[in-house]
Amino acid sequence: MKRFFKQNYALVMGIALPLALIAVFFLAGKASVMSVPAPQYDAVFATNYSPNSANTPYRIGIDDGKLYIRYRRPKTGKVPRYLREPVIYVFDHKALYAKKIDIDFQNVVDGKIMDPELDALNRSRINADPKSPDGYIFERYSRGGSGLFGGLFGWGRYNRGTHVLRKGVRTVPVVGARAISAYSTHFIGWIEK
Amino acid sequence: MISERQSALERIVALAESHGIAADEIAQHMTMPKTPERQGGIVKALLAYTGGTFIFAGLGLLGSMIWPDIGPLQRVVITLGPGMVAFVLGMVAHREFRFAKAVTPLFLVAAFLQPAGLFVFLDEFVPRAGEPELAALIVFGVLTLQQGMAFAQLDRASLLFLTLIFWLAFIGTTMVWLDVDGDVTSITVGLSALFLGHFAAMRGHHSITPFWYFIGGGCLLGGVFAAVQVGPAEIAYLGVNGFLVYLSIRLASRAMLVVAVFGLIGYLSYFTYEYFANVIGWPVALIVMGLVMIGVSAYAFKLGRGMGGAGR
Repeated sequence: MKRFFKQNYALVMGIALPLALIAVFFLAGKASVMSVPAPQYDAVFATNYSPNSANTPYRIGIDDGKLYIRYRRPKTGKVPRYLREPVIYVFDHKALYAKKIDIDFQNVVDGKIMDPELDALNRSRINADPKSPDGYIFERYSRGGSGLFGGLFGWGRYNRGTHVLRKGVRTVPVVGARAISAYSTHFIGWIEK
Repeated sequence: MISERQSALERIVALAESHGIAADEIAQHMTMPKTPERQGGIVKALLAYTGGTFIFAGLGLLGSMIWPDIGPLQRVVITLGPGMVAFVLGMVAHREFRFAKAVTPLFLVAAFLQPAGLFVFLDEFVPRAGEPELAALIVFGVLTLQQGMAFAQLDRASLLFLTLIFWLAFIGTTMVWLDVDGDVTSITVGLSALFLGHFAAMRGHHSITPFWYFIGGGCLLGGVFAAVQVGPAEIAYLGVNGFLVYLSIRLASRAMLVVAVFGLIGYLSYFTYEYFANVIGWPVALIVMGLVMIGVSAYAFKLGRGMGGAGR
């Protein structure tokens, strides 16, 4: 065995070094996951929406723990040619899945969107604090690129979700049925029990 | 380190002794003018390779045209099937001297078709809910084992080359799957390529060594630069680069020397731009850098010549 290693040290190093590094990263990842508990609260967020955009007639916010969507007709009276309605998602912390809430944006009453799905959502209190009661933050996945191989094959970051819930070293990807836009995604709040 | 020339001479001597050919017969044959038959052999080979390429391209196009109309099993059969057949034929052809020239092309065809076929198999028969990196891990891992075992049996440079390709793809994919930073992945892949390139040289497969030294050196330097760039340890890049130059001299590798010199010149350019761009001495710095580049390249050329016929 000693003779084999001496004669083939380059082969052994070439194979053992990457495998050792992979083992280290794998174990470190598992350890970090074990040290931080899983998220305990559902998150509500919107895509196709930017609160700072002047072009959108919609305003999404939290008032006294209730989600509201206000609609204001544009001053020019003209509806933008490509009106993008926001899409509201609820990230289920147990299923680790973001479900789209179907809202009828045509039903405007006194400048507010009225919808049974919104009412169902508002049965619980929604906390607008960026940090959840258990310490998680909803943020864009900002790690470096997927590297050469990810770039070559188009893997890595995008398939994990463009946004995550992060607490310390633990990240929980926010994935849904369809790809969630990396941009124009706005965090709304945490659903408190 | 046995040079390629020396290795070739030893092979000629071994062949001559095994076939009972004398030295003067070899000399006589070498001085013979090229006959039309020999020239015709070149034309024949050219047409054969071109024809084979046309057939391969035609089959590929035909496959893509009928793809929507065929079922999953048929798709796997027309992709993975020929790949596996080519691999088996390559193993069989290795045993027959008259098919020696067909071995490498067969293994190359297998290396191209087998991964495609395996991906098609996974796409058609495995639910898509998983991560695509996992599928790639399985494909590259299986092919690394296959090619590696074939190399252990046949000891051919082409098989070792393909094994390294699949092995490095496996490592890179695994690290992407584990969310490892790109620079760490690049350093790991680079180091592995360098070590395994050296292993290839130790086994006498010098034809593939320069390529892997170049790739390994490039990945290592790129990864180190990305890791230390714009930080307190930035100057550490020069240490790694210098070590690569030293290694290229020890291993008598021109390919490694080239990548190290390019890395050094690139770093000097970056350093100058980063810290001297807004300084009045920027044009002066450019001139000095140019002189340094000329000096470094002249020295590298001298070193390369000193490596003589090592050819690595």
